[in-house]
Amino acid sequence: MKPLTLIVTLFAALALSACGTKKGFEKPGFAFGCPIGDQRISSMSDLVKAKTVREGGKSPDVEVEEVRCTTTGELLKIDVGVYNDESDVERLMYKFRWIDAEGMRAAEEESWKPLLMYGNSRQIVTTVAPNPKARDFRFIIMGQD
Amino acid sequence: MINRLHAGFALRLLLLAAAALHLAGCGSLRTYRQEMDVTLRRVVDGDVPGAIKVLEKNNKGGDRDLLFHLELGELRRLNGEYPRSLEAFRTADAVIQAWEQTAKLDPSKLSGSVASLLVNDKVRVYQGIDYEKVMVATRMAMDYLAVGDWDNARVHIKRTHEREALIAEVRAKQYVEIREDAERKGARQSFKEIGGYPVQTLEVPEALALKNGYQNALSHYLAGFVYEALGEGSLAAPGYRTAIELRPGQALLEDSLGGLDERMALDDDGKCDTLFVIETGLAPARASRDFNLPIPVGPDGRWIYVSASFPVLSDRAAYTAPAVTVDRSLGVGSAHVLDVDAMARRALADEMPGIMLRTFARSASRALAQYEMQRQMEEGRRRNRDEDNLGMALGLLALQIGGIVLESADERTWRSLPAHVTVARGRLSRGVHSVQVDTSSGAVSFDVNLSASHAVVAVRVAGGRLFVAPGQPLPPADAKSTMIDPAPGATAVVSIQQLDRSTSLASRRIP
Amino acid sequence: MQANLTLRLLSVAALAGCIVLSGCAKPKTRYGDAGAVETVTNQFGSTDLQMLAEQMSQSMLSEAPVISSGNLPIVTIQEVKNKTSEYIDTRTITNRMRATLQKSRRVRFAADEADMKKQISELQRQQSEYYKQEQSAQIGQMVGAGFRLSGEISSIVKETKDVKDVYYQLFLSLTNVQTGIEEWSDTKDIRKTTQR
Repeated sequence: MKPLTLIVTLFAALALSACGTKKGFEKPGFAFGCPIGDQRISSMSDLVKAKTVREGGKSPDVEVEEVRCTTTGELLKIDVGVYNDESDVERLMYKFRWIDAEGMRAAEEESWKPLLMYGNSRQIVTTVAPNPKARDFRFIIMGQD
Repeated sequence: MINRLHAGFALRLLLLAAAALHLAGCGSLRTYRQEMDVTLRRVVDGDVPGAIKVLEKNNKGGDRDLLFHLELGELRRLNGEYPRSLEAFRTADAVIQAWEQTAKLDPSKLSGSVASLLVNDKVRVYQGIDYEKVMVATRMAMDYLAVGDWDNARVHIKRTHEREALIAEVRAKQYVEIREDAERKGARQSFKEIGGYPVQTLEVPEALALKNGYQNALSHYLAGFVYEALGEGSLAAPGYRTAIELRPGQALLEDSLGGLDERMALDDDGKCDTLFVIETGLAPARASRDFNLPIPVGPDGRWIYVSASFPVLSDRAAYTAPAVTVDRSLGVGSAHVLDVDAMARRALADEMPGIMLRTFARSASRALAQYEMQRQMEEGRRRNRDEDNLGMALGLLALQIGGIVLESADERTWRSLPAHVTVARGRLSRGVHSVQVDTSSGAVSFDVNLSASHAVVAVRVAGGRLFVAPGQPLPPADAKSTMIDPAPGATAVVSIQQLDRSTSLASRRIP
Repeated sequence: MQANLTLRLLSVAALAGCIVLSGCAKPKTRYGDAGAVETVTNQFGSTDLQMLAEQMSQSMLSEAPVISSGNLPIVTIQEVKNKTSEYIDTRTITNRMRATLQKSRRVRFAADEADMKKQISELQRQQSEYYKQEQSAQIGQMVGAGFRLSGEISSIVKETKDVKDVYYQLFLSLTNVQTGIEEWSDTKDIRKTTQR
C-alpha cells in the first residue's frame, strides 16, 4: 500500500467513525451541527424536540426523525428527516422560523410549504438560512386541511 | 256542491293564469329581438344617436339591466363617446362582478335552478352569456385604448383573462351538474331531440371547432399586444399562445408569439407597431320558436301535447376576412380572431340542456293542469253540467293563454357586438398613412396618424358603413358624428392615441 | 287539486327566485395569512409563487459558488420567460427572490432593463440647472452587473372530465456576463391535481 493511499484510507475511516459518534467533533453549544445554546441535548430525540414546533389544531400524523445542520459559507444549512409511519397518505405543510444570536427573529416569516408524504415513507426537507444573522431555527409543521 | 267545487277550481286556474301573466310581467310581452331589430336598423342606417334614443326609450328606469348597459356601452362606443361608453360598461361590469363573487363563494347557487324551474327564462335576471361577460372587460380595455389610457386598459385586460379563468372553473363543474341533473330527471338532453329544431343552425363546423363557448382569441391577442407594448413579455406570451390555441393555423398569431422576444429587444427604429382591429357585422339574434312537446300525464298514461318554445338562431352567413391595405400597396398580415356568430351558436348549444330542463319542468306542470282540466270536463259532460263545462273551458283557455305568454323563449343576447373580428398588424413608419379595408360589404378607407411605438386602431364596418375608433378628434366638420361615408375617396384623419415605449436606450443621447 | 299545487309551487318558486336574486348569504371578508397554502383553484397561485421564489433563493445562496463565497457579486435580473398558457407575471417571482437575496447581504443588484428607463430619467433630471451640480449624481458612474439571472417557466397541463393535473417547472440560471460561463442553474417543480 502506497503511503498516499494509506493516508486517504485512514482519513476515510476517521470520517466514517465520526458519523457514528455524535459528541466527539461537536463544538460546545452545538448538537449534530445544530445550534443549541446552553440547552442540554444528549440525543437526537432531544434535538428534534427542541427544534420542532407543531402548530394549528390538527397535528399531522408524522414523525420528525432527525435534524442535522452544517454551515455553507456563513449560512446555516439544515436537513430535517420526516417519516410517515402510517399507511395513509399524509398532507402537511411546514416552514422554518429563523432566530438570531439574541433570540430575535432573524428574517421575515416564511410562507407555508405544502408537503405530500406517501404512506410509510421518509422525506428529507432541506433549507438554507436566508441570511448570516440567522443562528438558530425552528421547524414548524401543521396539518393541511 | 260539486258545482261549487268546479267553479272554485276554474277560478283558481284563472288566478293561476293571471299569476303567470303577472310573473311574466311586461318583460315577456315585449320581444327583445324585435326591439333590437329596430335599434340596430338605425345603426346600419348610420343613425347611432337615434339608435341610442330608441334603446333608452325601450328601457325605462327599472328595465335598465345588464343587457341594456351592454348595448348602450357598445352603441356609445360606435358613436365615439368613449368616456360615456365606459360609464355604461362599468355599470354592466358591476353586475358581472357580483356574479363573479357568487361564483367564487358558492358556485352551486348559479345553477340553483330550483327557483327558476317553474319561471320562464325571460323573467330571470339577465346575467349575461359567458362570452359576453368576457367581452365587457375586453370592450372596456378597448375604450381605454381609444382614449389613450394604456394603464387602465391593462387593468381590464387583466380582468378579461381572470374572468375567463373563473368561468372555466365554474363551468367545468356546472356542465357536469346540468348533465347529471338532466339525466336524473329524465329530461331529454340534446336539442336534436326536439322535433323540428333547426339543428343545423347550432351545429355549424365553426361552432363545433371552438374549444368552448366563452374563450375568444381577440381578448387574448389584445392582451398579448397590450402587455407587449407595456414591456411585459412574460404576460404577453401567454396571450399570444392562448390566441393560437383558440384559433390555430394563422400566420399572424404564430409570428406574434415567435417574434415576441425579438420585438421586445428591439431598439426604437422610428416605427409604430400598429394593430388594426377590424370588426364586421352584428351578433346573431335569438328568436323564440314554438315546438310541440309530447308529455305523458296521468295514471292512464295519456300523452298531452304542450306547446313549448325554444330559442333558435338564423342560418350562418359565410364570412370572408377583410383585407387591410396601407398606402394603397402594402398588405398587412391578418388573422380572424373573434367569431361571435359561432360563439353564440356554441353558447346556445351549451345552454340548451338547461333551457330544455326548465322548459320541460314547466311544460309538465302545465300538462298536468291541462290533463286535470280535461278530465274534469269529461266528468262534467258525463253528468251533463253545462255551467261547469263553461267554467272549465274558460279556465283551459286562460291556462293556454297564460302558457303562450309564459312560453316564449328568452331572446336576450348582446346584439350590438360585431359578428366577426379580424386583426391585422404591421410595423409602419410614423406619420400619416392611408388605410383601406376591403370587406365583403364593400371597401372603406381612412387615414391614421401614427406617432408612437404602439397603436391600436379599431374599425367597425356595419351595413357598409365605417365607424372608426378612436373617433376623436375628427376634423371639425365631422365632429358631431364619427361616421364616415363609405363612398370611395371619402376619408377621415384619425388621431390615434398611442403608447410611446422608449425601449431604445442607445438612441437616447444624454447631454 | 293539481292547480292548487301548481299555484303553490309557482309562488314558492317566485319566492325562492327573489331570495336567490337578493342573495341571502352576505359575503364575509376577512384578512388571511399571506403565507397560507392556497388551493382555491388549479391555476398558478400565491403558494406556487412563494415556494418557487424561496426555494430558488435558497438554492442560489447555498449552491452558487460566486454567491456563497461572499464577495458580493453584482447581478442583473433579466426576464424570466413565460412558456405556459397562463398569465403568470414572472416578475413577481424574481422580485421576491431579489428581496430575499438582497436581505441575505450576499448579492447586490444592478438596474435591470425594466428599471433602466427610470434610472436614466432620474440621472438626466439631476443634470438640469435646478440642481446643485456638485451634489448631483454624475453620469457615467453606473456599475454594470457581473452576472445575469435569467430563466423560464413552463407547464404541462393534463385534463379529463374529472381530473386536472398541472405541472410547473421553473428554470433559472446565473451567467457570468463577461465569460458567458453559467455559474449556477436550478429547476424547481410543482405538481397540482384537482379532482372535480
